[in-house]
Amino acid sequence: MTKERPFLRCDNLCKSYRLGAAELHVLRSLNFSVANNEFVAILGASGSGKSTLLHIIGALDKPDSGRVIFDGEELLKFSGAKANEFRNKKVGFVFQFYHLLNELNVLENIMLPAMASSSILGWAACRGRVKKRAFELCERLGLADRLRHRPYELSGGERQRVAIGRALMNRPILLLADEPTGNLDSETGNGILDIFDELHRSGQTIVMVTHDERVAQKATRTVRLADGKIISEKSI
Amino acid sequence: MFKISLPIRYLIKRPISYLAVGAVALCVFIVVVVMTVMNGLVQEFSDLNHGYVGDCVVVSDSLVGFAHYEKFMSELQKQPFIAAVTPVIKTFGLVGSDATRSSLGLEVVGIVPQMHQLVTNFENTLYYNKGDAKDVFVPPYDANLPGCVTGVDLMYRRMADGSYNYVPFASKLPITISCFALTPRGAVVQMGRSAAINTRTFYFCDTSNSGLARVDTDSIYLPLDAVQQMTAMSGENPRVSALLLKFSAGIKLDDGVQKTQAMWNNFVESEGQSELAFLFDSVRVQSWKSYRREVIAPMEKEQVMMAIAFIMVGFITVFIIFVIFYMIINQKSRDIGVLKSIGTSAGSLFAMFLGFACLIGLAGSAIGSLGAWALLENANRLERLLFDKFGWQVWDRSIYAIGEIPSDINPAVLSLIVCSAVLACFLGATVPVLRGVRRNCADVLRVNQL
Repeated sequence: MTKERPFLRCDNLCKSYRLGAAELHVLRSLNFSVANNEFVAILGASGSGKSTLLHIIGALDKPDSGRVIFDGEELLKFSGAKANEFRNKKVGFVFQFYHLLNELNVLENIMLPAMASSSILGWAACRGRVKKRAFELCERLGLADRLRHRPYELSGGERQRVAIGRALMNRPILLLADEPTGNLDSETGNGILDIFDELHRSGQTIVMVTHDERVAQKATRTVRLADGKIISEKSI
Repeated sequence: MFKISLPIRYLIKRPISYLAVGAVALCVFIVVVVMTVMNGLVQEFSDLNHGYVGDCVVVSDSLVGFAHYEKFMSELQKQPFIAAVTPVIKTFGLVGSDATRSSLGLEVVGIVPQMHQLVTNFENTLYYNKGDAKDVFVPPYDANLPGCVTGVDLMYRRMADGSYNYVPFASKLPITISCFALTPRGAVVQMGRSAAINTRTFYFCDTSNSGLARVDTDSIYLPLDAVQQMTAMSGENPRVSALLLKFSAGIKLDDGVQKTQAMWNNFVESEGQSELAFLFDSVRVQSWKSYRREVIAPMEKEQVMMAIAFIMVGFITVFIIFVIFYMIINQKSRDIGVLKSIGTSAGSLFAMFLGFACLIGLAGSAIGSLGAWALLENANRLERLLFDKFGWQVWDRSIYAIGEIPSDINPAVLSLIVCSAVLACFLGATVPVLRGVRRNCADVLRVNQL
């Protein structure tokens, strides 16, 4: 239902899991698209398939059938190395439980995607530029005074801001957020949503999964999932 | 970059890593300590045996020995690969002492001290004549009396700390020695209707502490010519039991033995027509190792058994590392998921965690080796302290002919142990790491969200 030409399109996605003898159909011939600079919120109850859809879009998981076209390329035909490069350069993930590495400090956690894509020599060459970018992100996310702190020394909101910083490190085209406020109190959650809002206004394309109607109001379009299918779409 | 820094952080920050390092350290510690002591004991024992017989022996299996040895000796002495040769007679004798009024059956060894010390380590085994055996058979209280040297355990009591209760010469100590006289054909020489038993009195001059328990309790050394007379091995064609050889520096043992064997074969051929040529049939040319095989082999066998036991320790280390890494990977599955979500390849993660395993191996090996070095460096001091305070010893020195506990760590053995420990970590970690990095990223992150 996008007005612009979509740069992400999912056609007839099907995904099922086996739970003992039973087969659980999470996505049933789902069609979905995202245009450039959109902020899409995927709404749905628990088990409706929204996180699975996000994982497939981000090349963390594969559907049983269907296609995902990203910027003119079919995601499912990517080789392992290209899928890694895609996850590293094209998309950024923000998870509900932050998923920061406790052994690294705030700055290192944010720099992690840049580190992952560099060899030792490459890292030596780009270290200064990466650090500058990480400092900028910390400044922008209000983490400038927490650079050397470890994740377990931070509040939930601060941890999620670090996770956002990490997701933005390599300037991804698409930011994928899985219940980014689900583990935060409403005030802190609002602060995170303000950051998403600001990112969107600066041109970032975002796909966010949430079960919270209030959170979804921040998006420019909401897509409602139930039983693995889109049951409604609404532009705000 | 994090492939280097993250394993180091995991090692430092994770208590479970300490367990893995501790397990490796303990295994390395045990293996280094026991291998060092065991190898040291075997090496020391081999060195003592080498010192006792020289490099090579031309020895007769028969008590009657072989003749024409002087001719063969002079041929050997002309060879550049031979540094020294000495004749020896080994026979049985009854040894009695007025002091103890006892009679013992012992091995009587006839030697030429000034020659013997050029081939063997005999001069350093002496107490009163240590360093020069030339006058070892000259009693200090009367140079005209015939002297003898006894094995140290025949004369002095070995103390609990391994030393002997040596005393200065007080008075002359006569020792009566009786030998059977044998004809070249092996028959006992008869005097009338009785067997000829030659008995002579010698006077105690010194003791020999070769460090070989059996030698030091069973041997008595006499001048070669005296033993030849007592055993009827003197005369027109004097005989000896063996020739001991020392090779020149740089001559490989096997090469020297082969050359000696070839010379002996030629000698036997050239002397084949002599009256006593039949005695050559029982003569063998052997390296010191094969000559002393009987006594060295059991210790080497123990060493092999010990090595097998330590291979099992290696398997246990692999298993311990496997279990610990299984736990570490389970703990770190979320990190693996996160790193995959930012585009890290499975290969990089595999390399990173195997690097972590190697780091554990190296850290454990370093701690274990240092611990082993510290213990071995102080082992003898510690043992003396325990003996002084509690009367406890690792080996009772009054029973075992062991001096100091060997404490020199062999760098080659240490390197092998460290490499094995790192390899064990590598092997132990491979399966859990492979399993961890092959897991579906979405599944891992989903599980960690529950």
